[in-house]
Amino acid sequence: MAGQENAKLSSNLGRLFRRSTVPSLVLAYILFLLVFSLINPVFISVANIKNIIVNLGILGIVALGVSMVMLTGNVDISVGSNFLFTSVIVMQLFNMPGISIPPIVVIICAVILGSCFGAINGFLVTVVGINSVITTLGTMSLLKGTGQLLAYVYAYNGKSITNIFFLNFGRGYLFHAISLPFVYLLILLFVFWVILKYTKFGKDVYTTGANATLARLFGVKVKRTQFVTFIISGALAGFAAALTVAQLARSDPYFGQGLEFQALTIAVLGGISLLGGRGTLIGVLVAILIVGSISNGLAVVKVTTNLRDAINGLILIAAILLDALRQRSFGAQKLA
Amino acid sequence: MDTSKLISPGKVRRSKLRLTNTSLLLLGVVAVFVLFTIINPRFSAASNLNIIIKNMIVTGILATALTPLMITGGIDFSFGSSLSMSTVIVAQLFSRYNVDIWLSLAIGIIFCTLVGLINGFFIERFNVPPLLFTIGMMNVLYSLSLLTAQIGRPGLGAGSPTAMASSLPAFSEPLYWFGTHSFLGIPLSGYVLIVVIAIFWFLMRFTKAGAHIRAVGGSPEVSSLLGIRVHKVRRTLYIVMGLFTGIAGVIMILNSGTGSPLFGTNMPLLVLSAVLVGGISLSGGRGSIWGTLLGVVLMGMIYNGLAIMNVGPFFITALQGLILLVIVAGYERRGRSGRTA
Repeated sequence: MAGQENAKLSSNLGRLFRRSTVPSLVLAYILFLLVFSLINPVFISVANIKNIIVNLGILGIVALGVSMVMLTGNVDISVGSNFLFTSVIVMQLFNMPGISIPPIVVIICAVILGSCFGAINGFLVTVVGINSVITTLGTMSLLKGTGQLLAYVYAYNGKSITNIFFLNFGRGYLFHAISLPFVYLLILLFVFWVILKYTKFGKDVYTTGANATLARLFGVKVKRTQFVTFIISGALAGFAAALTVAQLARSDPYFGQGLEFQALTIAVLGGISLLGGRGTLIGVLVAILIVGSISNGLAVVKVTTNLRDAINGLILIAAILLDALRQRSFGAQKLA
Repeated sequence: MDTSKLISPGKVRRSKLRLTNTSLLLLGVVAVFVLFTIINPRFSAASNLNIIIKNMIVTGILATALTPLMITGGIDFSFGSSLSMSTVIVAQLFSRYNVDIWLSLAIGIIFCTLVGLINGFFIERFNVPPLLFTIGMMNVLYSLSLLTAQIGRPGLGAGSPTAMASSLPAFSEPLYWFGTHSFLGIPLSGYVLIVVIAIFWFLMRFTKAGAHIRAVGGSPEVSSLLGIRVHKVRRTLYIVMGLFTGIAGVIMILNSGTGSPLFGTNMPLLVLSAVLVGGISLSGGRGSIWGTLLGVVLMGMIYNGLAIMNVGPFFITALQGLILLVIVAGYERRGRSGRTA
């Protein structure tokens, strides 16, 4: 390629936008905020921003898990059903006749149950060797059916949770401003950012996703790495389910519907490549803000739920196409 | 992609494998039939067999059209929502806007074909993972079909999706006649399935297009070296899939007399399970129309058998997932499935 000095700066800028999605995402986000606050000033009111953040935390935690799976080159679309199943169990644990279980134990149970489902996915993908989308489609349907069945068997109508500590765990605010789930999300993002950046496991995740065959040749335990990311994704979905039950003090057979696709949208939009091995959690954080604000913004300008779902679906398709385009430009650079 | 496929001798061994698979499948069909008859004698009653056949027609058409697409390594998951969307469009056009029934049906078919066109264009032009792309498409179309069903019925907006299903206004003659009559014990729409099967069998067996499809499935790299335009073959098959989804939608309307956004919600997993149990690999290259048909019969019997045992809808959802996992775990091996991810 030509190496003129004056062309270098612009090509560097171009590469910045193509290779890393973060700058373009931030730009899109600012534009988006401007447009929506012009349509309806309520959108940037303090109360509404508080509201956006409340909803973001849980969605973000699920998306973080999905991003980890996607970095190794797999996809997990069973998180929504995992979330549903676990929330039903959490609700049941608080409604056991005669027994009162400490909230912290319930939360740990939720995380363990979620990670068990993650382990099932991981087993089917790495040991049995089924394509991850098909695997998680299957477990998605399986967990959804059994979860809804349990919800009806337990029949929650009118039942609720009164344990103040548990409710505050999901409903509380830090400094009376930032909702706790969002705080957990930021902590988890930081932890996983450190893991990805500074540990051997983090390096293994990227190597596995970039090229599993080569990674194996270099001594990376590819299957184990993939397995662990599925467990992480399941555990985070379980944790998010406990948070949701704490926020709403109830469970519902329609919990988690569409959650997996929102999480997938966030991950892909945030620059986590569908083919694995590329993307950062900072991009994911910006994508969480974007997707959360879009749902809220559309609600504020009074778009109906169905239309909102359709728009969310379109964003997913757009994100997938963008990822494919990025893939192509990256490939071209590698050749050059 | 996988290079071992290039050097595998394949052909002879594969045809033998398919023979044993098919006979195994046939055995499975008989076993399931006997099993359900023992559990519930009502299963093999003539009236119930008629129901099984009727339910199999739509899934049969979809599975038959999906077969060549999956042989070439493509996949479609959006046909369920595309089908419901087309039935809703037809019902709305016919009953609310008084459009001629034949014109409405044609618009429904054209709609599905357009969806196939869009799928094919984006997937092949940009090399997008087909499974995820069509799942995204499925979500969009599902929401749109709920929206379309709401037009002119504002009261339904707040309700759950189940309330939406409460049928759009029904159709009258001559569709009613076509939907209810049968010839030689087979519902009239069953003959549509027979024609569809014949078309695809002929296409795969005797035409150059069929040879190209099998070549692309066997090895896209070698096929493109031989001058076959791989992307174009797949793109065409996505459009064909769309077209036959539209036709299946018409049959759905004929059999039910209505359109609903919920018609297709359970279809993708059911049809995919049928196609996969029929011997098609997720990574393409293997499979036949006959295997798919046996798969459709097997799945149709299993779901009907469960339905007359009065298991609830949640059981069906859970079992769909379980069945898919069992089938894929039994058939699939890792390493060939790069593209479908």
